[in-house]
Amino acid sequence: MNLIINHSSIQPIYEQISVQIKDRIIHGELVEDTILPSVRTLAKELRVSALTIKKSYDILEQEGFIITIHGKGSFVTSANQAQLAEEKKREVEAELEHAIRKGRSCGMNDQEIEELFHIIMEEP
Amino acid sequence: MIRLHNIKKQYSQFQLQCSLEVPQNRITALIGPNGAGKSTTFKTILGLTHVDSGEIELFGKPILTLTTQERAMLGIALSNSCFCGYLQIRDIIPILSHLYPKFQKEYFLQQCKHFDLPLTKKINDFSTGMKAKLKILIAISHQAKLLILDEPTTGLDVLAREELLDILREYMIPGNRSILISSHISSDLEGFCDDLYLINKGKILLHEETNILLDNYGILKVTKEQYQKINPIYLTRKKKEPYGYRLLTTQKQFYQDNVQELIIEKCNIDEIILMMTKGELL
Amino acid sequence: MKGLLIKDWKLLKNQMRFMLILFTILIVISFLDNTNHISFMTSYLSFLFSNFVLSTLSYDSYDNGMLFLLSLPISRKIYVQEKYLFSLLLTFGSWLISLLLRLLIFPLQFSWMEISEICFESLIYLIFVLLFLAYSIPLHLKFGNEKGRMLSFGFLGLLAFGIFTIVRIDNWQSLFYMVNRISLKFVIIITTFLCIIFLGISYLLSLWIIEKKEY
Repeated sequence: MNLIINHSSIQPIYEQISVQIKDRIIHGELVEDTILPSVRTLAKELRVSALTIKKSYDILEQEGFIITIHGKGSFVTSANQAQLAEEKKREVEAELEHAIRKGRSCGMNDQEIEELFHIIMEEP
Repeated sequence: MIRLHNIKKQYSQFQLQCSLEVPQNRITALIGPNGAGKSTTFKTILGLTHVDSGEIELFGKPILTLTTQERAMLGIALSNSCFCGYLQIRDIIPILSHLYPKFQKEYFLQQCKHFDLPLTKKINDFSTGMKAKLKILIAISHQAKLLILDEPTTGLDVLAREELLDILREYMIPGNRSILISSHISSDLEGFCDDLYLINKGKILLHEETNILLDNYGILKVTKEQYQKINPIYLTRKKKEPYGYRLLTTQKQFYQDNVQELIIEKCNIDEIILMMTKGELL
Repeated sequence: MKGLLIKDWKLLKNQMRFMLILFTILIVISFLDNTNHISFMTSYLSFLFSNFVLSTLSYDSYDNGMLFLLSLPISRKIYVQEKYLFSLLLTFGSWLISLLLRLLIFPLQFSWMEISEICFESLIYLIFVLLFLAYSIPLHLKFGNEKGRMLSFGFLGLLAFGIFTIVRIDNWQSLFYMVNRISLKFVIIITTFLCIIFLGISYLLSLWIIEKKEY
């Protein structure tokens, strides 16, 4: 499945996996009804524990990206990819708006807010 | 699949006292330094040695009541024992066919070819790597539901070890199978087993899922002053260092979120073992 | 059990070449010598083959092999049963072959007396071999193969000494004819019965030893 795990990263492995799979679903690389590799198969490919893979799949299912049918496997759901992506973007927009408003209300000028924004962007 | 409940066995050097469980669809590892009691635990599971007290169950039944057919569902590889070295692979094929009703001859031969195991050479003349591969092959060639492997990678180089683990990962894919594997090379098992038991001097020090060990556990390096102030709630072991203390935590996220200027490192299984066995209890 | 029998048979084949060479040499020697030795030589063959069962015990415990064997899908009982079955198969097999060889090599003496003499002597050897196995197997299982070998051969030495003295004592040939006249069938039945009893005791003893053993 061509996922890449960074073992030295502070980000938990299950999160790296679920984020990468989510990415592909959002960008349309994994289309609706695509069957994901079985937990053990992916565990073999990535050389990680099967429980880690299961955790990733559980999260993806919780967030509505995949659905697991017992005995058959895990499938990418029929939720409209574009819609989902749009929704997420809207959420980020709202949060940024909220942060900027807060900054302005406690006396920061626009330049300071922008600087702060860039500093945070640069953090790993 | 396997259940050891409170087994106790007295030896001259130490007392083996442990409980462990291997559920279905699981790869469980038993890790510990040499002489910790891993092989002994395996021998008790296989009925090769008797325990003073406690229950041992395989497939839900006490081991002494297992039928021959049920025992044929076990695939076993022992660290220091195999077929008589004077036999050749072509000799052991009919032996295995008769001992294990589900023995897959074609698969076995195919894999022997794949791993360059000569059919007409005495097993005594095999290299360590070849013997290890043969033992694993014997264990996985009869559709066993449960593999019990005692230090199958010992004495092998990195390439061979990875190859062996890949064979085992492949083995798990069909499902409804479990593996209990022991090793003192913990780095191998990080990317392999689902959960692990750490044993030392006959006692189980730790039982945790691998992903939790790798994702949640961490090493904190603190000065003496920091140590005084730190909340010990998620700390489990400490070790004195020249700079202060080295601490093992079960929730590095907690310290990451709540404490400033703390050196927090992701840790691997080796470090966890070192801290759990050599570190002081907190 | 069949798997175990195949294993022991394969191990036997390893030694086969050596055994056959030895056997051929013995036959050739006895040919060149007088006829009396042929009976000993051919019966010695059955002793050699039966002794091989003890070798399989050595092979089994070589290099921690018992750990592996007992982890196979067999019970300890089956392990012991297979050894005794193998003993019986080897002993009877080789005894039959040696008996036939004896009758074939010197086919001219076909008088009833001579045949019954040959058969009776062979029977003695057979019983002797079976008894040897009966006490050797438990010894090997209990004390390991080196000590076991020493003990069983030591015992053999004692027995040989005992027989030697008995032979010296009286004209045993007259005893033999007397016994022969009484009822060969009766003698055979009694000795077979005793043999079975001894083997039975040996089997139970071996079973007990193996069940108790810790590895």
